[in-house]
Amino acid sequence: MYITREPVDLGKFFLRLPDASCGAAASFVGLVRNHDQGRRVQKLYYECYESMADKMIGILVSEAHEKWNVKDIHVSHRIGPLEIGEAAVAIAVSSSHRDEAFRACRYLIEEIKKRVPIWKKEIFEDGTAEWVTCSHPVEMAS
Amino acid sequence: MIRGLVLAGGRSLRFGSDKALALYEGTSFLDRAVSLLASLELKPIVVTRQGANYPLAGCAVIYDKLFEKGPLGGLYTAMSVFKNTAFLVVPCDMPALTPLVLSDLLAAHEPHFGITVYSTESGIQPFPGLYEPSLFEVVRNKLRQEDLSVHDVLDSVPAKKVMNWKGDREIFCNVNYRKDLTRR
Repeated sequence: MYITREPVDLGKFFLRLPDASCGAAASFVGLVRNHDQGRRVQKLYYECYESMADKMIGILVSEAHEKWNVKDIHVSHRIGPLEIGEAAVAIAVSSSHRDEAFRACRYLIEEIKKRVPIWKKEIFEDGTAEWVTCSHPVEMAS
Repeated sequence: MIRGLVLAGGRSLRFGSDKALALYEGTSFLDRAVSLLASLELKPIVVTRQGANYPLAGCAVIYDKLFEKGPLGGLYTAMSVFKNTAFLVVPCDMPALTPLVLSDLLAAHEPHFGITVYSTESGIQPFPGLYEPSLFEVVRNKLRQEDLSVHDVLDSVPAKKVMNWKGDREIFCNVNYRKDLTRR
């Protein structure tokens, strides 16, 4: 399962040691930021049809395996209410060499944003709320 | 009183088999739609064509009074059976809808609006939508004129609330062909 309603434990998520054949591990964390297009965000909700979103992430993971010679891919996408600073999505890719790991990691987050049917609702500090498109870059942590 | 209404009267000609019963990861589209409305405590009703036999528990099933009149015919049937009832209407073939998207419609709706719906860049989305019983005459007249367009009903109702949807439009996509599922 790639979709979770529980907080993503980043410590545990990234503590998994890659296979000994791997010389690279690339990772990405998408975080809830406190602003969007000049407005102060208080929190947000992610919602989806879980089995549909889960299946789509599985397809993307398979695609990444086909495109690059990577060893392990881990993805966790949280849904439900999220507070500022919490991790919405975490991705870890290991491979023999860094180029494949970076490329696969980048591919996964971009395609998740574009193709996985997860809907985002932002709650602003002024009390208003809006459903917004997920199809734009989020902050990168690593 | 507001109840959930699932439109499941289509013949699924483009899909090739009964779309309502098509399984997605072990759940039929129909069950998905019914459980969405049940999660909002809207006591779901399914309106379907005469002769359809769906294995449903815990919800009312009613049959189209008019033959092949599309979503408007389904809404007319529900309005004529359950009088003085407003409906949150969901087609059975919009599996990407979620409870919060529907509960936002409910929260925004006020009875003096005949209709509450979302609007995207491509225009008003008739479904999901909240339809008040005061629309019954409008719906009946459109059907009498053989005008089956839900958009025409929307156009003829001045008191409607249209919520601007800035999120991904894919949430309103209908599954019409099997290939629509394979890209999921």
